Amino acid sequence: MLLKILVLTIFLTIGGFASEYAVIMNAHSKIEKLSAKQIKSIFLMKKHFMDGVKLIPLNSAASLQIRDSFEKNILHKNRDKLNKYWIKKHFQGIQPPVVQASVKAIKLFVKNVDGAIGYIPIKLLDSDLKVLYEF
Amino acid sequence: MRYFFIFILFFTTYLFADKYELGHGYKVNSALNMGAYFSLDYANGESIDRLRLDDVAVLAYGSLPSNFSYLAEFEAAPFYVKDYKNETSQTNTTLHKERMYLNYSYSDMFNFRLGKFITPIGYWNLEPINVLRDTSSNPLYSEDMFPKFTTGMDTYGYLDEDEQIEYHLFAQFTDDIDKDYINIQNDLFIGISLDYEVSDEIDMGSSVGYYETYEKKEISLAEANAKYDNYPLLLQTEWAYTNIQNNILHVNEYQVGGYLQGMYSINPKNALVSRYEYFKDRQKDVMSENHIGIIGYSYRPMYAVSFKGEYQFNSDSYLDKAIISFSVLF
Repeated sequence: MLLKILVLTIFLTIGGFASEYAVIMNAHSKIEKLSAKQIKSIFLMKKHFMDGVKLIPLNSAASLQIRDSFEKNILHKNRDKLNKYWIKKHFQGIQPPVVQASVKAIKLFVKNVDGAIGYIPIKLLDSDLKVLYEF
Repeated sequence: MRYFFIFILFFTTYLFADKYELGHGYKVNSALNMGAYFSLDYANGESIDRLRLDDVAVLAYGSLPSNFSYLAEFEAAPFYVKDYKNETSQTNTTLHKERMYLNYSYSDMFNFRLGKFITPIGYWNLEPINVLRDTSSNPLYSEDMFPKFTTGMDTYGYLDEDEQIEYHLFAQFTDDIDKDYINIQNDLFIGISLDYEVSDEIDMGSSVGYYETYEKKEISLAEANAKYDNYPLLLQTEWAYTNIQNNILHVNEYQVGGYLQGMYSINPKNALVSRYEYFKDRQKDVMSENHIGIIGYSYRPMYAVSFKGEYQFNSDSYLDKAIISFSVLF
């Protein structure tokens, strides 16, 4: 019995830490991997180029759970702090990433536009996409 | 095909984008974003009794093809002033060119800005409008030690892969585009500025520069700044020294100035602010030295709307005053 509980606990723990989402570009992209720090720079509009390609970051709609997870795990900023950040950037003439209504829309455009980078649930991955980071 | 999808991308963006939010501007399309701001303040003390509608401004910016972008900002300041002490009022509706520039991005390391832009020195100067600041008043350091704007070229970017070290190399070899609308009139300004984001909480930077004023002064500047931002505490400090060669009086003069400001957020909307300022000005055989202490309160129902109140204690008590302000960024 004790062994069963131990196995179940380990299983749940591993399951609990498994990645749910992936940062993606299209399969033709020369970029193979990105660090969380690089992704953060891209989505805070500090990094605009990589391997000679102009990057187009795509955000999911603010109401989606995936957006909360991305902001918490990659950007390390809560919504208040991000709001303050983008208001200051607005004064500097910098706009936040383009917002897409659904993760399916993000997937479609990442597939078809070089340089587009977004994040979707892992279960939506297919062979036209390249995973750069999981969270 | 690529252009078709880019078209669809921006079309769906238009359809489904987050609705307009105050403080984030109005996005017509990627080539045109518009914004505006204003501030209203009232100052009262033995030396002043004044209501002022200040910084009435509009701005537009956007991306252009081939990695170009632009920004234009026009401002009327002060738009309206009512001086209760002298019983006068003044309205100024002339729109001045606050910023006007074209950017070209070659890479993350090399970007080029041409036109009139905010001089990239320190923190305060880069956030010069009331609504973005945590106090209604500006430290003397930010008003009297270097030109707030530069008309010329700025080469800027990040020196490292992680975008933590940012540099600016800027130069001006002409008059300001709007030479009646700058704190220090000058026709030459060169400078280097570095900023190092040590972590999400800690940032530091330094600048050196040289400029020549209409008053035949040659001024060398050295500046350093640091910030600690870990909610609920924000500490910020900037200090500068100028060495002034006065070519009319043939004397050497100098200024030393800076401030240390702390803000404690009670919650995301309410904060207590305190600042100590020092400014020493040795010009024309006159030495002036100011110590200024400020305590204040900031209330933001949302970040783009700011209500602030403060009381200033000056080393010359005649200058003590209370200031309240209301400002909005659209």
